[in-house]
Amino acid sequence: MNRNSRMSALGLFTSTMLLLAACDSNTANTPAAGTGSGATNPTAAGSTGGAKIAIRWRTRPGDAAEQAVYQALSDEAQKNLPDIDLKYDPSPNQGYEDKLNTEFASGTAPDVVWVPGASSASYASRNLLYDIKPLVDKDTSFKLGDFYDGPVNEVMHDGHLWGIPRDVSTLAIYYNADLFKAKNLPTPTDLMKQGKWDWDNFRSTAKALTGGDTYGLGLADWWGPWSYFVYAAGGSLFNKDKTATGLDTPESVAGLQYLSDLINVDKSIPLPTAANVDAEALFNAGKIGMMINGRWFTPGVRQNAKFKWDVEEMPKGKANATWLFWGPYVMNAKTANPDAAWRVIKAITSASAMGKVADMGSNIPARKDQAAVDAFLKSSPPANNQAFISGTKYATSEIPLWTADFNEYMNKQVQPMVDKVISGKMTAADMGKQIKAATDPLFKK
Amino acid sequence: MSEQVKTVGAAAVPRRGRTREKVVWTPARTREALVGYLFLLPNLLGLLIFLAVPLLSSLYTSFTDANIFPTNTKIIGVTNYINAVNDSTFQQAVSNTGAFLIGFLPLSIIPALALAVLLHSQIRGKTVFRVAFFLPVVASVVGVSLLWRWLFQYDFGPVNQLLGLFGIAKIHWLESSDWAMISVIVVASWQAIGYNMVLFLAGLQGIPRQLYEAAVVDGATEWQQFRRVTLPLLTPATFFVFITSLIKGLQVFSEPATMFNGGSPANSALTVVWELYLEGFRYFKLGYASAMAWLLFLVIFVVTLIQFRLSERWVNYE
Amino acid sequence: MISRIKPLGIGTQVVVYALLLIIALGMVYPFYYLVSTALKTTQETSTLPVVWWPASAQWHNFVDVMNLPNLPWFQMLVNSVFVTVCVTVGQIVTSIMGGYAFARLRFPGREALFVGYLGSIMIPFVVLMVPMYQLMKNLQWIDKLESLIIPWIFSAYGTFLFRQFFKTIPNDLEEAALLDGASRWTILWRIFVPLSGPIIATQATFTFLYAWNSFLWPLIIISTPAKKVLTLGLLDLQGGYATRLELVMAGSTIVILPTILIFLLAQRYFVEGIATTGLK
Repeated sequence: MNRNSRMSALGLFTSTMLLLAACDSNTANTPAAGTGSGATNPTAAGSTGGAKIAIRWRTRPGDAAEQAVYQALSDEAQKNLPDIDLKYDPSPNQGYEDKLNTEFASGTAPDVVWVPGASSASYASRNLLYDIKPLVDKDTSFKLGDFYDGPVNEVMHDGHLWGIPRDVSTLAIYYNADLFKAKNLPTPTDLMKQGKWDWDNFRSTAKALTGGDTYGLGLADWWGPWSYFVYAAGGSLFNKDKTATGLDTPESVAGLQYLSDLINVDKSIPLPTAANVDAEALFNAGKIGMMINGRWFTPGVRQNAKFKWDVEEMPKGKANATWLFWGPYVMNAKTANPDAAWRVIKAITSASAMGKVADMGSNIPARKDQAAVDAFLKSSPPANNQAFISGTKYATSEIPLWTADFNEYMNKQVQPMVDKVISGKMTAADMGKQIKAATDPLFKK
Repeated sequence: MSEQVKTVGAAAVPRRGRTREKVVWTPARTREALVGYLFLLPNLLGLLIFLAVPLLSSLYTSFTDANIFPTNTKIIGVTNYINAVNDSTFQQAVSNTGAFLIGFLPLSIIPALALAVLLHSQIRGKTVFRVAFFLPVVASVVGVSLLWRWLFQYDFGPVNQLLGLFGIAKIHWLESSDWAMISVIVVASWQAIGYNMVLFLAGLQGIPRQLYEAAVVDGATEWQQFRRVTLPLLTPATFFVFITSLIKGLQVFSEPATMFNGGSPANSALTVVWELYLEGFRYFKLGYASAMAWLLFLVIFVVTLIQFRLSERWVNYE
Repeated sequence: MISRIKPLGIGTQVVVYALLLIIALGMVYPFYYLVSTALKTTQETSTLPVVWWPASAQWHNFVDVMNLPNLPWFQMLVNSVFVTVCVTVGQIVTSIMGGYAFARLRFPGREALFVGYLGSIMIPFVVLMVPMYQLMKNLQWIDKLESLIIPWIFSAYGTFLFRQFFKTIPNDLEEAALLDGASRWTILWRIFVPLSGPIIATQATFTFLYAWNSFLWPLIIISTPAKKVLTLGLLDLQGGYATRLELVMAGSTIVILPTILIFLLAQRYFVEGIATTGLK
């Protein structure tokens, strides 16, 4: 009995561990899609001889079609890079940065990865990215001047170059042409042609479209759409040298008050929800006349809208304004072979590569050369693709913030206050008085 | 060895003194101790690694400026704690969590008690009702939060449509900072009522029938029976329900975070746990988030302690 | 208010039933909306008045959800089942062993350890979240299912529950078995466990629900789609296909249905289990 009980206890312990091991081994066998085996492992890449250099790269495809395009791009690049073992490792939209943060934290991030423009600084300032300036400088076959200046200037900081812009998108007005016809109103495009696409007509059009269960204008609840109103009124999110907020200026305040009046006085806009999808769903269901959105909205409208629609530039306020959202490919600071990673970046940002991506319609190439632009213009509907390109002339580039954490500045302090203005709980003027004190502690002195 | 423990709570803690008794280490007794350790080992080892170690390490982290990326961290004393207490967003999260409790506790406990009493009476179809009331408990919080987002949808959601039938104007359940927290309370209470009801039912089953018979003989009305017999004898269950709801409520996170994917209007539904999640995993301030977590733990600890003290006055353990 | 002895008068009965029915409808309606919306067309999801039942049920919505690009729904279902079963079985086994040791075996330090166990029940998970993340990082379990399973199979609360229950089992059975030469191991699994049906059912159901519905921890740990569990898939679905409400609802149905079925099967044990263990 004595031996028995001891053995049995041991047996139980072992069997528990076996159970764990069973759970364990099973997971170990599931295909490890994300953790590139040895991609960032110095020994694998550093070894000489016939071994290929493993490079893993990532984008954020919105759907299967986009993913297929990038996969094809990767296969194409692979042919021209025989010494590299290239692996495309896409990651979905939702939680894209959460996943990337986790991977950076645990040292498993891809060698080359696309990130939103505003986030590039947040990674670079934490020493997670590789400065590709020296690589670009010595590469005579590559011209940084082929890319839109705005994003290039933003991703260049203190003499370092933290990435190569991949795509850009301006904000534009999507509109439901059938609704305009029903109400016998001139469309934004009509007004544009007459030179009357300004804030007065914008506001009256939105109001005229509103009625019953239909709204004149829709916007999603994040900083992009509402801050258009700030910039169009001559304001800014930051002060000139980006060491403090710019939302306390009279111009910024006026822009936000104009938006607040559209919502709370005219009732032309459904209250934006944190559930920031309602407006998009309502637009697709034909219940919103105009919608402020980026190029990424196009595939969804193509698929779901059962009405005639088109796009137009953002209306002119005190000034012409729109955002130039962009995103660069950046290089992981821990990549085993920066030269190989650079050759990959070059291959996937080449004119022909960008042409293929532009064909798909969900983003605009970051190259300003005519070939890339032409490829984009052909991708319709919408008929008026030019509206997105025209916007780039006066657009403000999405801002990587080096003096503070952009997410903390925007999500923790600014957005909650703007919410109050948008819902009419606070006047823009009051927000202007409070916002500097609230955000100042976030900026490095 | 045969101490029979009947109630959870005070009686569950082994009486002291037993350990003091002199042990004669016969081979059989040594074996027993050994087997005891071996049986406990997997469990104990696991809890040490995955509970005790993280607990101590989070205490340490809360005194550092750690972020989630590999960098040199340094000890900064109680700075994180001071900053947290002075952080207006954290203050707002604290008061939001308080507001949540004020709505959630009564809304999830009182209806549960009423339903339990109704179901405890002599009626048919009890099981069906019991299952119906319990269904929300088993559903995934993420699932039901997404579901309620659409029930609360302003333009074509069923809730506003139902209110419309009674001539009540549409409500901005999710978009208005006045209503956002109320929506969270409704969803959380809807999910909690069934669970609390079952706990109350279990408590009701333990009340001896004779007490009611005696009360009837004394000519007590039904209301008096409820006040004089049911309520006092149900206090242990009430206490348990109250304390678990309180602890759950202080940690509310999933409901608001899922209902307001990108952030609630003007942070009106931002709770303490949500805020510390954002600090740690969105703004990368691990040390700061740990300090917030410990402040919350402290509150839970103190509140629980106070409740146990107060319970001696009103909880009736026969 | 209602005495349990006197049969209710007709009037009271009508009132009670009406009340119960209304509340029951309120509790169940969201589920009805869930399933009916999952079967609607995109147009039917956003019309007023609310479409009570779709003109023709779109069962293919469920198939569509399983086939969405970037959302390996079936793989997530497999992961969820796998994680949940491992956690439930593991937790029950370790809790039974620990509970038995605390209840029936004498060893030095037992009382002190037990008090520690009781205390640890009160620690909220958020306090542990950050260091647990770091621990997973050191173990290289970030973005691996191990991190959803192994830390969760040890439960102080489960151990406590089983200890309480085992204490109520009469000694004579065990003593007789010991005299017959049975080992502790045999006694535990042949005598104690068979007597513990309801409490195992209760504890297993709760653990199952908890593991199946867990959300915050997977959200932090898992990012690769192929390793996600259903709750995360649901968030992705909401984020990526929000304009297709019927798909979101079909996905939610797939997540919610299994727990409801399990509860319907186990509900009798469940209530009994709570009655025998949780409270007097």
